Amino acid sequence: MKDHTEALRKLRISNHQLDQLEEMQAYQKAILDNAGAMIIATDEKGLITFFNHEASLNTGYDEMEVINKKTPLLFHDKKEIAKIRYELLNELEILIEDDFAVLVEKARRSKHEEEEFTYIRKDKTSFPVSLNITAVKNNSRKIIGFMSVAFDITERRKAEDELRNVQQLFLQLLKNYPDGSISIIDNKLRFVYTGGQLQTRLNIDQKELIGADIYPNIEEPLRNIIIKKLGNVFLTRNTISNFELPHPVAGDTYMMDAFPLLEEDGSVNKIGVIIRNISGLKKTEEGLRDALEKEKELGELKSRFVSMASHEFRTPLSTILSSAYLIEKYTTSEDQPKREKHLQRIISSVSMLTDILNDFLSLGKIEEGKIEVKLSEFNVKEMVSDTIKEMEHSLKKDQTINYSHEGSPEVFLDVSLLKFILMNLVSNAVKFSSEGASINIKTIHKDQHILLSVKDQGIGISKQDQAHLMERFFRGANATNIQGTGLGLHIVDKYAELMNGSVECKSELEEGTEFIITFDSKDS
Amino acid sequence: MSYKILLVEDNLLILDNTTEILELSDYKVFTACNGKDGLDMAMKQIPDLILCDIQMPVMNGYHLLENIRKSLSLVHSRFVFFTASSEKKDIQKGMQMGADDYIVKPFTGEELLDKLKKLLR
Repeated sequence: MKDHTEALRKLRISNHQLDQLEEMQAYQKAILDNAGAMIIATDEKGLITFFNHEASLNTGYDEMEVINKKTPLLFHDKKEIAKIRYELLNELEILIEDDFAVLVEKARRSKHEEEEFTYIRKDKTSFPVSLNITAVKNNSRKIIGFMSVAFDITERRKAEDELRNVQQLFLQLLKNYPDGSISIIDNKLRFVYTGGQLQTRLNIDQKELIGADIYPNIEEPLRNIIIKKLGNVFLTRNTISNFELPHPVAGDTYMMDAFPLLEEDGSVNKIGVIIRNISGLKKTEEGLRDALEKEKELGELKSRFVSMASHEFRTPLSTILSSAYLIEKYTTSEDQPKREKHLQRIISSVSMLTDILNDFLSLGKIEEGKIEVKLSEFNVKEMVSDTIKEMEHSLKKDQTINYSHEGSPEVFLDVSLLKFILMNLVSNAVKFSSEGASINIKTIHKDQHILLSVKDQGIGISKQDQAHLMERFFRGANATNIQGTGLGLHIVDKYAELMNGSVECKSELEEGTEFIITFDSKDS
Repeated sequence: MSYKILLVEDNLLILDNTTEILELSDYKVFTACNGKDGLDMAMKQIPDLILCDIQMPVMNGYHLLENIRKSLSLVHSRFVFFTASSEKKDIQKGMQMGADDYIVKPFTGEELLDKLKKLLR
C-alpha cells in the first residue's frame, strides 16, 4: 500500500513536471516564433526538428510539411552548395559528397561565420538571406544537431545595390567631367581619386593615378606651383577659387578650385580639387573685349566726325552768309559786278560743301564695301589735262601746274576713281604749297604698269606722320591749322587698293611731298 | 574818326567778305593771313580791335593773342575770336587767355557789326 502510494505520488510529480516542461516549450516556441529571424533546427543528419513561424512565413512551407520530413536543402540553391563544396576542397583539401554536410561543415568546425545565401520559396521565388549555423552539442560535446538563424536581407541588398549604383554614377561623373579633372587628394599630396577628360587628354589611365603623386604629367614649373597652392589649402584650410593656372596645359588655359574636406572631428585630411578648361571662355571674353574696343573706336570716330564736320562746314557757310549779306547791301546798278562776284563765291562755297559731303559719303561707302569698280579703257593724258583745267581756278596766286606723260595714253582703269585720286592729290598740293609754287604731275604707262605722280614744294610731312597718313581723320602735326577733313588720303588709298594700286609717299619737311601711285593694269 | 580793325584770317574768301562788310560800315580795315603777319600789322597799326581766326598756319590765333597781351602798346586793343568750332572748350580757352569776346562761324553781317559796336562803345 505504501509502495502504491509512493508510486502515485511520483506519477503526480512527473505529471506536474511534464506540465511545467510543456509550458516552458510553449514559451520557448513563442520566443523563437517572434524572434524576427528564421530559426531552423535540425538533427545531426539534417532532418528539420524545429521550424519557427518566421521561417514558415518567409519560405512558404508549413511547419508540418518539413518537421521530421525535410532537410534545409529544401530551400537552398544547389549551385551555392556546389560552390561551398569547391571552396572547402580548396581550403581543407577534402571532398564532401553530402550536400547537408557541406552546408554545416564550418559549423561542425565551430566556425560561426555569417554568410549570404539564397533561399528558394515554395513558390520557386527566391530571396537573399544572411545565415549563421551553429552546431548544437550535448554534455559530452557530441554534436546532436544544428541550429540555423537566417535573416531576410532583401532590403539590405537593395540599399547596398543602390549605394553601389550611386558610387558607380559618381565615378562615371568624375571620369566624364568634360575638359577638366575632379580629384580628391590626401595630405601627402597623392590622389585618393581623380577623374575627368583632362587625364584622357594627357593620355593617362585614370586608375593608375590613384595612390600616385598628384598631376605627374603636368610639366614644371606649373606642377610645382599647383603643389604649393594645394599644400596651402591643407595648412590654411582656405578655399582656392578661380585660380587661373599661369601656364597652359596641353595648349589650353585652365582654372583651378580647391577646397578642404572637413572630417567630423574638424580635421582636414583630404581636399577636393577641380581643374577646368577655360580656353573657350577666354576666347569669348576676348571676342567681347574686341567688340567693346571696336564699339569704343566707333564712338570716338563718331565724335571726331561730328566735331570735324561741324568745323569744315562752318567755313564755306561763313562765306555764303557774308556774301549774301553783301549782295543785299549792293543795290545800285554799278554794284552789279560786286553782286556777281559774291554770287560766284556762294556757288563755289556750295560746291566746297558738296565736296566735303561727297568725301563723307565715299567714306561711308568704303566702310560698307559698297564701292563698285567700273574698269574701262580711256585716255589718261586727256583725263589729267582736263582735270587740271577744272582745278586752275583753285590755285593760289602764281601757282603753276606742269604735266607730262610717257608711254601709251590708253589705260584700263576706273576713270572716276582715278579722277578723284588726282583731284585730291592736286588740291592737297595746292593747299600745302605757298603762293608761286609749282606742282608737277607725271603719268607713265610702261609694260603692264601705270604710274601717277603728284609732286609739290609744300610744307612736307614728317616721317612720323607719314606712317599714319592713310588713317581716317588723320591730320599731320604741321597741318592742324590748315583746313581739311583728314579723309582725302584715306579715300585715295582705298580707291587705289580697289584698282590693285599702291600709294607711296616721299616727303621731307619744308621741302615738299611726292605721292606716287602705281597700278598693275590688266591692259586692253 | 573811324575805328581801326585788324582782321586776321587764312581763308581768303572770309577775309575778303568780312573786310567788305566792315568797310561798308566805315571801319578802317587792315588784314593779315596768319598770326605772324597779324602781329606785325598790329604793332604797326595799333588797331582798336583785332578780329582773329583760331586755326591758321605759321602762327595760330591763340599764339597771336598771347603776344598781343604781352605788348604794352596794344593794351587798349580789343580782341575778338572768330571760331569755326562751337565747342565750349575752344571758346573757354580763348576767353581765359584774355579775349574780349568771340563770334562763332557762320555769322551774319548784322551779328558781327552789333558785336563790334558794343565792344567799341
